[in-house]
Amino acid sequence: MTETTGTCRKRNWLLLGAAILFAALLAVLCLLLRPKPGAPDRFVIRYGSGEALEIPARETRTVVIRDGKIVDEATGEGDENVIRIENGTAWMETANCPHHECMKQGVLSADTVGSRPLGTWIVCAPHRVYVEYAGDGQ
Amino acid sequence: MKIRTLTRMAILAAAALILSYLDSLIPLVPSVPGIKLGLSNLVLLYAVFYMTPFETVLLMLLKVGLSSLLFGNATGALYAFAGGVLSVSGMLFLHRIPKISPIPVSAAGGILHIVGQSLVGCVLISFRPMIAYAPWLLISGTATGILLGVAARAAFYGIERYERRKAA
Repeated sequence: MTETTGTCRKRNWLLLGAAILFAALLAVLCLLLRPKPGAPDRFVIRYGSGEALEIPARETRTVVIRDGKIVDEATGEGDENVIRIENGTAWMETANCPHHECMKQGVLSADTVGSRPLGTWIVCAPHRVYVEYAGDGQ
Repeated sequence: MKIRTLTRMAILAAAALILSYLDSLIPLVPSVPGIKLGLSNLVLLYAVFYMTPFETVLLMLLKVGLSSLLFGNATGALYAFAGGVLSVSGMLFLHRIPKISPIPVSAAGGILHIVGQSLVGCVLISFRPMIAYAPWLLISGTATGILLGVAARAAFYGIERYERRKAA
């Protein structure tokens, strides 16, 4: 059995510091590389194997994506996401992914971009569907 | 594999599954998907310190496979597998350093888990949303890694004290 009691205090602090520094550097690098939207004017929905649907932000529309394809109606079957776009805002209305985390990401709009942790994105990782509030100059 | 080892693996796999389920019930930051306490990594941390590298990797594969089957989907399994492979490799490597405490090992494991998941996200989703996502995951991965390390240190101290008493 490995003994964990009687560990070297200095070595542990050094390693912990190195791990935190590594994470901090990576996080700063990501923040620097984070794309800044020019003047967002459209929502881009990416789904399936890289397909994209661009919708002007002022349009009102509901988009249903099932198993990587856009379909007319939501049935709740397969891997389904329902995205609502309305008057410059977009949100994940329903999704049958395991933990519904995309639905908890809130509304994406010009007013909320600065305060949302995910910035200009709504991401449904399990279904590989994401919505981007995009503009020129990105 | 000895019966004793097999039994211990089965008990640890069951514990990891229960902790995975508990994890899914505790949303830390609902607006950022993927941020979890990672309670089931306590089991892997135990395996890193008290079992062989082969048994640890096997336990990680059992945990990823079974928890994805029960509480997730195929895409989730890919994320968990990449995170698990990187984090367990890193923890096994660091564990070779003499007199190392579980706290830095767990912190490194948490960070590497996020790095692995983010790399899979870059391939499966896209590089750009993952860049927006990664800083939040890195902060949470470091914090929960340290927290679990502190919990593991207390637990390991108890286990070792019990073993010493039994041996005496």
